[in-house]
Amino acid sequence: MKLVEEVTEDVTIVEAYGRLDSTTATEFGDRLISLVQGGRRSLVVDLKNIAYISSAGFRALLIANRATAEKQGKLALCGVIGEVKRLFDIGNFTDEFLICPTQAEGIGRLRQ
Amino acid sequence: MNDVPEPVRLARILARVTDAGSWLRFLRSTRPFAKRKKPAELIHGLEDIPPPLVTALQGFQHVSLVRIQLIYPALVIQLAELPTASSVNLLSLTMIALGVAAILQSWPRGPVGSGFLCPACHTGIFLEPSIAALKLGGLPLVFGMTILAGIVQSALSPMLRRIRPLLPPEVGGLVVFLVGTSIAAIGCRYVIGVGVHEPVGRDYWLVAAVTLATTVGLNVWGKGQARLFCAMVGMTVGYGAAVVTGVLPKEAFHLLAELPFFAVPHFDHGGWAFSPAMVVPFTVAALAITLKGIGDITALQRINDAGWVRADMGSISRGTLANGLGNMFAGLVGTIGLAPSTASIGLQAATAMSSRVIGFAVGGILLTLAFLPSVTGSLILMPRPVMGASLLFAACFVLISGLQTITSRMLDARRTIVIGLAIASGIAAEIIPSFASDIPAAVEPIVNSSIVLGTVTALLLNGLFRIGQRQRVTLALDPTSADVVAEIDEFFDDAGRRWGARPDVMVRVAFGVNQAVETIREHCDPRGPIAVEARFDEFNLDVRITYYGPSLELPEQRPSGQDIMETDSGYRRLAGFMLRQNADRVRTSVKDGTSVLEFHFEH
Repeated sequence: MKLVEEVTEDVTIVEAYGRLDSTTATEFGDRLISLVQGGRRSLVVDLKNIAYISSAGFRALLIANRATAEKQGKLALCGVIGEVKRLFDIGNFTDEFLICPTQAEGIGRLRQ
Repeated sequence: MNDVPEPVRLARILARVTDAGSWLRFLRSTRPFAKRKKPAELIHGLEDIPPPLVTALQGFQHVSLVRIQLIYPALVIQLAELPTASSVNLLSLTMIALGVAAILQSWPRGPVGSGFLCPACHTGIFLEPSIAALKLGGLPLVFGMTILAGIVQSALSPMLRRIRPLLPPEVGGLVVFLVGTSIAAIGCRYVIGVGVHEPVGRDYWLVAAVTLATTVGLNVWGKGQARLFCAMVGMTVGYGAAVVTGVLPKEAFHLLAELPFFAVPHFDHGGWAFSPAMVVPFTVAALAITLKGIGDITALQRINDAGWVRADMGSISRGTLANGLGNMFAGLVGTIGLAPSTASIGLQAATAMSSRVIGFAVGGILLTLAFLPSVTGSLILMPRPVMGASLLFAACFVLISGLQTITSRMLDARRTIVIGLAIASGIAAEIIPSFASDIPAAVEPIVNSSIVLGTVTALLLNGLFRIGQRQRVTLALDPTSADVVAEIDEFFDDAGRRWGARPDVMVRVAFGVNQAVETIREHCDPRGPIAVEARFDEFNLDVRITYYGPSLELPEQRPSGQDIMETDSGYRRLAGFMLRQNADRVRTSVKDGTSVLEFHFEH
């Protein structure tokens, strides 16, 4: 898995590439947690380049979401499309996260 | 029991027969098992009843397309060198056959009729066999052999369900695509002016350009009625341009003036004849028409059903029977063979109007035209550049419809070769007609037609490649291997292509197996390999995962977010919940320490 990070003034954008499964979820989750603990409390996670997400990936996202909330921050997801969108639907996760269509909209929602 | 006076009963029957409401309900009604979801883009879908004026104008628009194909019987009639009166009478009889065939196809009840708006038209597939029959035994042999083709088609119709594996969806799509290329080729020839009798020059091309630009412009940028009637408006503007530029000479109208406005067609075409020498060409033509019909009706199913996933063989069989009976009727009244009008199907996609009521309107208009020789005569006056532009426009939608059906399935090397070589042979027949010069006469009708040659190539190759094709595949996974994911993805991609499965179903299958194997590796401590077995037929895809270890829990309720984050049990049950949700049916069992996890996917 590859993670590309872009830090703007107050929002950090994390673009994830590849598969989010039991072999990559720990690395992915740990990175998000370390960003939050490092003071980056507004995260936009872009999943448009994720081809597959398993229960391990959802668990990592849930934990990162909780960690952000505990720091009075916010985590927004974007690029939830195609197969990943279907998996969010069948896992009943659509209402668990703040999901925005694009990075720009995610940033906008976090700045509100 | 029945004490109602006879006159009252008669009055009731008459009232029922003449009740417009009950007729409209009948026309709207459909067979109970045909469940369709009307696509949002359709303005008037299959079951809708457009306003009468819209229905009539749409009917005329479809008749305008059907009449282009009158060049085929017109050509045969011309070659028969009949007096003008007899020629026009034969054209009137042709109108009767076309009208009856249009109504038969739209019929929503009983064993006959696809139930779609699917007017019949003449086709180039019957042209070569008909000309050969004309040379051998005159028009009676043409008509007699057309009846035979209709009998062959009708006999094939109930067998289509059983021979379905030999006719996969991509081959149906291929036939539609080949018909599209054939229509496009005729359209291009007419637009450019290749092989036409009229003087070709700036004015000729101008008429073609004006017709095409008007039709396309109204279809792309037009709104409401303008878009609905783009083809008819385009043809009318084209006619006008042809008259103004002289492409349609004034002398042509003198011929019309000599024809009566009203006349009852008479059935005195000289009878019917049969010849064993013509059995093969007409049987092959009937087979090609059947395949083309399968593709056409499949395309109609796609147009009319947002949830279309596979061809419904019921409406295809009934449509094939309707076409077979239509051809028998065509031979009986005295015209050459008919086929569903693919251009009309393209028009439905372009105008977003597919109401079957329009099919009845088309039938009514054609039957009326049979009694109006001067109007019928004018139909064959349509200038070639106008014909060409209209055919090119319709071909665009036919080609794309065929391509969409071909690509609705995953294609492995075998299927790719079947489709690729069939398209190549069809195009070869279209652009290098001379390659069929030194072949036996019996095979000529096959190689002379791009549709027939492409179809026969696809059928033969498809049958050949079915040899040794496995519908059951197995994979043994080492749970400690780092390449398990790649192995699973490659395995199911390969299997899906080999089976010609739907890509969306294969994505669900791959997720299910990946998630299951991931969970088994993490939580079940499997001893020995994980065995994956998948079985496929056109309707079902079943996967069975066997391993030595405890079975997975597949809960109906998702664990809470807190459970998922904080407990192993919650995390494991999330995986089980997603597996249950992903498949159409799941089952687990354990015997002697060996667990079996089964997924069923509807295909």
